[in-house]
Amino acid sequence: MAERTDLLQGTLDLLILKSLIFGPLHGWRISKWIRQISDDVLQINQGSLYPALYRLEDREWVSAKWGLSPEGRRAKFYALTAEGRRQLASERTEWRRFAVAIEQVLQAR
Amino acid sequence: MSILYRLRRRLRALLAKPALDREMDDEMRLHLELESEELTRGGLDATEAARRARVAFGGIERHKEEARDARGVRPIEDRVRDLAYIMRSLRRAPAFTLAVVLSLALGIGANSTMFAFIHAVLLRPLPYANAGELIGVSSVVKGVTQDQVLEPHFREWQRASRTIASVAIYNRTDATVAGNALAERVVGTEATAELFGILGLTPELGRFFSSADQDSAAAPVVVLGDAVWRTHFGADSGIIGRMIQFNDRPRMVIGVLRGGLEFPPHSNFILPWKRPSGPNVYWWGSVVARPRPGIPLSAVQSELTNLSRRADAQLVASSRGMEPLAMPLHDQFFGSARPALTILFGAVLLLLLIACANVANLVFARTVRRQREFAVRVTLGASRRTLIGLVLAESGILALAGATAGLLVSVWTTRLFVGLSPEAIATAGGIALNGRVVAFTALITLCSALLVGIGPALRAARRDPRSALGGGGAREGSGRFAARLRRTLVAAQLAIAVVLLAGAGLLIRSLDRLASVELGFRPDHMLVVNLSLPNARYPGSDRVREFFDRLATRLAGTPGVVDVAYGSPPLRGVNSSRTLPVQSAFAGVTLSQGTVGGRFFETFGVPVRAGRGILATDDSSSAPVAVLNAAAAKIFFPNGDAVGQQFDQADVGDVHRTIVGVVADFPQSDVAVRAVPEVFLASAQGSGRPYTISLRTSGDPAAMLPFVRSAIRGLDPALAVGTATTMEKIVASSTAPARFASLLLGVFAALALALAALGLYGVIAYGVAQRSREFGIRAALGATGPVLVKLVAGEMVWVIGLGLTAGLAGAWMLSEFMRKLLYGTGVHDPLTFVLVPVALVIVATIATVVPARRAMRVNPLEVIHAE
Repeated sequence: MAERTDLLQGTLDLLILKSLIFGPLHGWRISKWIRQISDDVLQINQGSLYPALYRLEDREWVSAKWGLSPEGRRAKFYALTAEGRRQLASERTEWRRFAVAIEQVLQAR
Repeated sequence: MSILYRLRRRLRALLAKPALDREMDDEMRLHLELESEELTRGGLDATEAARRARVAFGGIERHKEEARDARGVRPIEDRVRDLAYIMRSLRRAPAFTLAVVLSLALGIGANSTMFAFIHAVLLRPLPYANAGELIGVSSVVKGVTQDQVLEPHFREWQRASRTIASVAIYNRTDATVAGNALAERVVGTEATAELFGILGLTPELGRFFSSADQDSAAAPVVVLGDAVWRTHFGADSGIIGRMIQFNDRPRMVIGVLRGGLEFPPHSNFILPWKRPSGPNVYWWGSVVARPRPGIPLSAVQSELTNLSRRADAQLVASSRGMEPLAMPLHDQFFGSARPALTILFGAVLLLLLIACANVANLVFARTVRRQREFAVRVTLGASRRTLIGLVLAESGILALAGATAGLLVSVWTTRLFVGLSPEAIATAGGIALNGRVVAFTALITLCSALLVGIGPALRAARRDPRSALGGGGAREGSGRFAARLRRTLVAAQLAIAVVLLAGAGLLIRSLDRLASVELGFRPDHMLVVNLSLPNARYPGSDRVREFFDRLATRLAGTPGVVDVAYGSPPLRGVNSSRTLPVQSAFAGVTLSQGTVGGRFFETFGVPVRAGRGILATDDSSSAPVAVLNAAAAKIFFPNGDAVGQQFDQADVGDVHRTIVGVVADFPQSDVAVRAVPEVFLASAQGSGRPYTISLRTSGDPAAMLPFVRSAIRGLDPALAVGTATTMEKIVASSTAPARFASLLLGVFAALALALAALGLYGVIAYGVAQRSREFGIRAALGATGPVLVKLVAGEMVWVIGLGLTAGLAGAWMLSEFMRKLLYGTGVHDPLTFVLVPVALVIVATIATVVPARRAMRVNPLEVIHAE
């Protein structure tokens, strides 16, 4: 059980970091972007986004700032830090290697 | 990831928790609103949209909790909650808390106090450069060790040593320094110029002297100490090159030492060593040396010994045989304080062990009573680690409170003990609570917390919740193991108390012996005044003695003065320790020589054993006489026929002297040291410069000081009066080291006994309370009160016996370490080893019987109804 959580958590971190590559977003926007981009395939529990965001903030991969949202509301915006960018690159490589490995396993006859 | 960033976030998480929670609420609320707004746009009605948004969001409280954990301060918050809980539960048990904190405060405070001494006197290096390498050279002459050596030996070491890089000789001296406002007699040092290099000193102002300044024809110069420069000369930076009045003679200040680097510590000035060695005139001096790099002490020692044999060849036969003794300089300064301080430090560590055993017993009993609470916690999901942490945290808090109280008390006790400490300890200076002492206190506090907490902690974690929840709770602790542990702890406490009591007993016996030493003189009603006449105006010792004669005559006529004398008083060292050849058969025997004036023996109350003392008629016109002390008479005239015999006094020409009397021995330097053979010469027929005038008074001796001052001023208004004290104070300071050690060890032993008795009392009281049901039943079945008391006390007989036996065995073995501190008392002094067990048995019996009597008062009906 713990292992599965870790896997999911790591994946969620990757998705969040990726979502911020085009600029700062607030929480709901991040969740929306992930759903849209993955054609609603990646249905994550929307609330679990927030603990993940705070964790990333604590690791200094994202920084947070209150501002005005496009919807005209006061919202907390998250932005990638330089450290976050590096982390995204390395996690992406890691993920690709992992995906290839899984694919190879599945292809095996 | 910067540590600072994290630290800031953690602090914010702890301190601004409500604000952060509000932000989080806002953020999540916005999410839900935006989501449901979008769903509304998709055609849903508002209520349904809000519901769906909440479903998609998931358990909101769970996410909030997770988000809070992500702040990374959950463990800290948990600890804070635990601490608050512990504080509450300690407040609910004030008697327990007070007993524990007081016990630990005693144990820890005593340790902090003694460590302040150990650190300042034994551990702290001397303030000079690479002070650990410095060597002091003492000497052994005829089995007696002294701090000084004969100068010819020093010259030979200086000339020929290959193991020593540099060596200097120095002596303590004192002088009247006339400053801007005051003239005062202060102590200082005269030394050879190498001293500065050896110690690695640099001047604060000016320069140091060179060996050229030691030439007898060189202009007199002085290097002032920082303190005297400030007090006497207002820290005047223009003082270099100035002529100051030094012993009433002009002397040029050439330098000022840096503060704290005086040598030896607290010296006020350093003069060039100008003591011309002549044939048969040998000075004594202290020696400090720096060995060449990498040369071990043993190599220096063996080389100095060889060189000393060579030096001996140049000396007259009677002065030969001095053996040098090289040791670390720190040892030479403070070595004499080491045995007492080490033993006292050991004593307080043992005291702390007793306190910890007491506290461990209390905490253990409390843990047992709280078994039910722990069981509930386990049932609610607390892990073993949590429980251990909780109990350890509690003992940690208790130890911290104890340490704080202990430190506060030791601020005061340290000051008190410094006031009581003998000179050898007090001169170290800086005996106070400082960073090192606090650090040491922290260390022993941690050790104590673990020591008292670890057992109960493991026990709290061990219990199976079901049995604790089901069982009677408080009775759980009556297991055999627990009972045995408690008794073992009490036996250990008693054993340690016995060891400390025996140590204190030995010291007190020794002090008693010391106090009852037959002094050979009467110290009561005596005023002793030091008076040093400057060479400049009193050249030659004849002039000095003449002055003292006039002063004595003047004072003798003062009402309230019974007798007046001058010359070195008892316990103030000997006037002259030159080895005198007394009759060829005794060549080489060291005889000290005292020149005494006025009514010396009458004044000091020294009984004349045979013949007569020295009379006023023994002057330059009459036949030269001598008086021997009993020790000298016994050596030279073992048949007891000293009076009337002749001997040559080679030191003052070839004067034949007739021995006219023998007086009782009195200790010349130390109450604990037997009198050395001494010959007393009449002032008018002898030599030497007296520097002390002593008065026997009819009333309070200190009250006579103004009369002495005015008498001196009447004879010479420019004279500075030196230190004045009473003979009783001199005697007291001679026994100060013994009193210091026995007082402190006595206090520690008394505390140890009290704590051990409390421990015994506590265990028995606890046992009686636990077994009240049993006693109730026994009483109901007809057991009488005394039977019940016997039942309880009977078990304790073994515990007390075991503690006593172990303690006596330990004391018997450890007392060997006390040997150096004891005077006239064997390390296995029978009286001590009889009285200590008696005292312990009496105290232990009281501590047993008082709580055991409660068993008698148990009301059977109440007990049986209570179940």
